[in-house]
Amino acid sequence: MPDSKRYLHPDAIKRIARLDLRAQHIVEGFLSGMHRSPHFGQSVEFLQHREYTPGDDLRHVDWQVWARQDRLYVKQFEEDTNMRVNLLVDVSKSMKYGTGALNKFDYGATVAASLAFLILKQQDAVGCMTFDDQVRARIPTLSKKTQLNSIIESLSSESPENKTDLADIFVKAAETYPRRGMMIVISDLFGDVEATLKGLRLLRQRGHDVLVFHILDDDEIEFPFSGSTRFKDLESDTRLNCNPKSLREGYLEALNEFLTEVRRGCAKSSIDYQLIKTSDPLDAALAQFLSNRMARRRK
Amino acid sequence: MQLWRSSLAIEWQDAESDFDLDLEFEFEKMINNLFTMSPAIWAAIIAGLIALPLLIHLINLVRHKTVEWAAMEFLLKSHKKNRNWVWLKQLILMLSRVAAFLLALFMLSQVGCEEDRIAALLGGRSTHHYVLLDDSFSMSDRDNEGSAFDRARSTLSMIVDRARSRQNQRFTLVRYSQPAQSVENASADHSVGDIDNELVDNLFQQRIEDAKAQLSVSNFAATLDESAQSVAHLVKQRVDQNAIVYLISDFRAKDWVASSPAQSALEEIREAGGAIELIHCAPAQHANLAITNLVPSGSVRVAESPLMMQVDVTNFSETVAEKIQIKIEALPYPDSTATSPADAVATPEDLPAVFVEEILPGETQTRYFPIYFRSVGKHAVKAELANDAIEADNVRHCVVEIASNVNVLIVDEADQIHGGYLALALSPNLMTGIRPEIRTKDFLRDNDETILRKFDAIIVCDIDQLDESAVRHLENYVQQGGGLAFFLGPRASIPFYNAALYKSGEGIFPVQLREKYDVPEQLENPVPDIAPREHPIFAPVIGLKNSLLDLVQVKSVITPTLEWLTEPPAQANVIATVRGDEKIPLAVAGRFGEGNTMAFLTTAGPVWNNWMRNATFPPILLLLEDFLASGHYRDATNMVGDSLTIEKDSRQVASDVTVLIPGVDGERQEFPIQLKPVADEPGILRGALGEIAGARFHDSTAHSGIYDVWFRQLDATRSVDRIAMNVDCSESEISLAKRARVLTLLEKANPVLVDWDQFNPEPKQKPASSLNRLFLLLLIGLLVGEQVLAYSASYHK
Repeated sequence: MPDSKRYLHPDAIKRIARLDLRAQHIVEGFLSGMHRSPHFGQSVEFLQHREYTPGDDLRHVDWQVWARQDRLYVKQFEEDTNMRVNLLVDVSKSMKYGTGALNKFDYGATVAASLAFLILKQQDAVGCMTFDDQVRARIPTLSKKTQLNSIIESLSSESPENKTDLADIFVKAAETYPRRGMMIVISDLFGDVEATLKGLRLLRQRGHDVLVFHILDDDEIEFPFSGSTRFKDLESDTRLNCNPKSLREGYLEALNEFLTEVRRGCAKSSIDYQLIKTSDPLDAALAQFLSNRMARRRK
Repeated sequence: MQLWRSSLAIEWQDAESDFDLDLEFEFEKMINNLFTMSPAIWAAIIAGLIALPLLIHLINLVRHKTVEWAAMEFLLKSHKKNRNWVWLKQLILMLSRVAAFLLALFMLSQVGCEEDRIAALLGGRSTHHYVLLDDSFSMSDRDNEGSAFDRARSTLSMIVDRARSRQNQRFTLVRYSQPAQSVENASADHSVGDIDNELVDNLFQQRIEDAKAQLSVSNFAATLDESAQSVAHLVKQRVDQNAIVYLISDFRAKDWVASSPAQSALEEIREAGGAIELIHCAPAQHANLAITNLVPSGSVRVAESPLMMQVDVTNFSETVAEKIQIKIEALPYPDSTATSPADAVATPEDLPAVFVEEILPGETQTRYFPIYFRSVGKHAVKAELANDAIEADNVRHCVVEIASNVNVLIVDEADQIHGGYLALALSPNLMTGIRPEIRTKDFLRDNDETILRKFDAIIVCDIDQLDESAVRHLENYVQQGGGLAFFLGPRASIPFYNAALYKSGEGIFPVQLREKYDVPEQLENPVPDIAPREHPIFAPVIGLKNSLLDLVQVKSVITPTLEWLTEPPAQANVIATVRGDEKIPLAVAGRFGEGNTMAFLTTAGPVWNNWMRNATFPPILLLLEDFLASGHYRDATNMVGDSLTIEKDSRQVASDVTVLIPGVDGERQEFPIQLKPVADEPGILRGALGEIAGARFHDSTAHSGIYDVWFRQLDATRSVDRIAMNVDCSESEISLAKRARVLTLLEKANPVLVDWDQFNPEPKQKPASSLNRLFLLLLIGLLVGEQVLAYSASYHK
C-alpha cells in the first residue's frame, strides 16, 4: 500500500479528531498520491508561481523564470468552474452502527467533509443537507471560503438520531436545491427501497447529477456473528434472539437482494452508485467523485 | 502444682487425640454411608444428572450477547424464513445431548468407571482385584538389585495403589503355597487367602503394609494350579463383580506346560469375564546348583562301621559349574538322657568336604563319601553348597538310623553244611556289623513276619520244602520290604519250589525250575564258570581282567524250564550265568512286594561249587546282604510342607510329645503335640505335625532341616525320632518360560504379560464387550452429530 493510501485508511483517519483537518488531510493526501492531475490542461488558469521543491512535475517548471533568475519556479493554475455540488448526508440512527475504526456516520461525515474541501478547493460551490426522517440541517450552495466551516459545523453538530425516510427527504432536497447541480447522497439507504429509488429518480428528473455513496459496515455485508445473540434494532424497539449462523444465509440473501435492487434502480436512472465499506480507504469516495466530474465535463 | 498441670496437659492432649480419632471415624462412617443411601436418593441424583444437559441447553439459550443492529430488516426476513428449521435443529441438538449424556453414563457404568459407586448403582459392578502371589522358593532368585520376591512385593503395592485410586474396590491376596481352602470349599463365604475379599478403603493401606511385612518366600515348590482354581471358583461365584486377576510370578519353564490345571482355571476366569494380568518378576536366569539327593548308599547301618553316603548335585544353570565344594556335616543323635529337648544339643561334626570338578548344564553328578557313627540311634547328615541365586536348595538333610548290628537269618538244615560258610563270610569279624543267625526251617514256621522283621535279610539254603505257614510268613516278610535269598542244592524239591514258591511267577522265588544240570568239565580253552552281569552285588568283580571269581568252579546247577527261559517274569533278572550261557542262569534277582529276592541256582556250601573258598565270596555276600536289606530301608523322602504323622505304641510312650522344629537361621522351636488313641487300632497313639485339613503345605513343617520328635517313655526315659525335611528340587529348575510360550498356552485366557517395572499402576480398563463397543460407536456418532448440529446452530465460533 502506498504511503498516501496508508494515511487515508480509516484507522489512521480516526486519530484526527477535527473534521476539517480530517478533510484537509484526506484531500491533500489523495491529491499528492496522484501521479498526474486528472484535470491537467483543462479549464485552468495561471494562479501563481511557487518555488520548486523535489517531487514537483518538471513540466510545470517555468523555464523562462529559470533563465532570467537562475532559480526554479513551478507554475500553479486555478481551475475555472461553476459546478454546484450538494451533499445529502444521512444522520439517522442506523448510521450509528460500526465496529471498525469509524462507524457509518463518522465515515459518511468524513467523506462529506473531504468532498466539500475538495470542491471548494476547486473553486466550486458546495452545499450540505443532513437528514434522518426529516431534514436536520441545510447549508446553502456557496463557494465562499467559510463554506467549509459551515458544512463541517453542521456535520459535527449532528449525532445519529431517529429513523430514515429517504423518499421524503429527496423531495425536500429537490425543493431546497432547485438549481441543477450534483447531488451526492451519503447514506446506508436502509428503508423502503422503492421509495428511496423513487426519491433518487425525482432528483434525477430535476436535472441533478446524482452520485450515491452507499456506506455499509463490514459486519453488515459479511454478517460474521456466532453464538447466541440478541439483535436490537437501532431505529426501533425490535429485538431478535437467535443463533446468527443459522440465519446468516438468509440474511445475506436478503441483503444481496436489496443491494441488487438498489444498484439496478440507480443504473436504470443513470445514477452513479458506489458501495463503500467502512473499512475502505477514504479516498475511494473522492476518486469516484472526480471520476464522475470528469465524465460530466466530457459531456 | 507443676505435676498437676503436667498431668492435666497430658489428659487434654489425650482427649484431643481421641476427639481427632472420633472425627476421623465419623468421617469414614459418613463416606461409607454415602454409598449405602436409599434408592430414592440415588434416583433423585440420577434424575438431576439427566436434567443437567437440559439445563445447560436452556442456559445456553438464555445466555447471549446483545448487538445493536442496523440491518434488522434483512435479519428479520431471514428469521421468518428459517424459524421452523432453527427450532427443529435446536430441539434435535438438545435431544442428542441428553441421549449422549445418558449413553455416556451407561457406558461408564459398564466400562469406564466400573469401580464407581454410581456406576455400580446403574448396573455397573465393583471391581475385585485377585492377586496370586508366587511364593515358591524359586522367587528367592536374587541378583544385585534384589530378589524376584522383593519385586513382587513392590508390584503388590502398585496394585493396591491402582485399587485405591478408585471407589468400590475389593482385594484378595492368595499365595501359591496357601490357597488355604480346597477348591471345593472355596466360596464367597470362606477365607481363601492372606487377604480375603476386603474393601479397599483408607484403612486398607495399613492392612496391606502389615500383610507385606508377613510375606516371605516359602521353601515350598508351590505351583499356580490350586490357587488359580480357588480364584476361578470365586470369580465364577461373584458374578456381580468385575474381576482382575494378577499373577505375580517368575514364570519358570517347568510351570508352563500344556493342559495344566492352572491353564484351565485361567481360561475359566476369562470366560467368567475376568481380566488377567501376568507380571513377570524375574528378569534373567541366574546360575543355580542344587543338592538333589542325599541318601545312604549302603544298607549295613551299624555303629562303628563305615557307611557310604550318596550325594547328587545338579547344575540347573545355562553355564558349566566348576570346582564345586560340598560341605558335609554330621549331626549325631542327641543325648536322650537330657532333662529337656532343648538341653540335648548335639555338637555338629564337620566332615571332609566332597569336591566336584565340573558339572555341565543340566547334568547331575553323584559322589559317594564314607561316614562313621560310633553310637546307635538316628543320626543326621547335612550336605551344603556355597550360596548362589537360590539358597533353599543348597542344603539337604538326611537321617540315618544306626543300629548296633544287622541281623541276618540263615535257614539251613541241622547239619549246617551251607549255613556255616555263609555265617563265616558275613561276619568274619565284628567290623562288618552283621550278626548272622542260623536256624532250621522250623523257625520260619513258628515265627511270623513281626518276628522276622528284625532280620534285614533271610538266606534259605538248600531246603527241600517248607511248611505252608513258613511260606506265608516269608511272603509277608518280603512283601513288607524284607530281603530273601535262596541257595539251591541236592535237597531242593523242584516241584515244591515251582508250586509253592514260584507260583507261576507270582511267588517269592523268581525262577521256575526244571532239573539238575551237571556242568561239563573244560579241557581246552576254559572260560570262567561264573559269568556275572551288571549288578550291585558283582560291583567288585565287574570289568576286572583275571578276577579271582574266574577261579570258581561250578559243578552243578538247577536249570530253569524252557518256558521260563523263553519268557521270564518281568521282575526276574538274570545277573549271572554259567560260562555265559543264557540257558544256564546261575543267579536271578527278583522282587516281591516291597522286598528284594535272589535265587542262586547252586549251593552255598562246597557241594556243587567251590565259591565259598574263593576270596570274592565274602564281599559279594556282603553286597548281597546290602541288596536284600535295601528294601528294608526305605529312606522316606519328606518334603517341606508335608504333614508328618507320628504314631507310637501306647504301651511304650506317653501321649505328650515335643517336636523340635528348625527355624530361620538355625534356631529351633519347641512344638508340643498331644498324641491321641486311634479308635479302630487299639494300643496306637497318633498325632501329626501340620494338621490343617485340605492344606497343600503346612506352615509347621515349612523349614527344611531335621525335626526331632521327643517321646517320653513309660519307663521314665526319653527317646528321639528324627525326620529330615527337604525342599522339593523340582523348583530348582529355574529356566525361564518364553513369553511367547506362556501367551500361546494362555491364548484363550487372553492375558496381558508385563515386566514388573513396566506394570502400570493406572487402572486398566476392562475391554469393552461387543455390546459396549456398539454403545461406544453410538456415543461417538451421537457426539459427532451433536457437534455438527451445534456448529450449524451457531453454538461454535
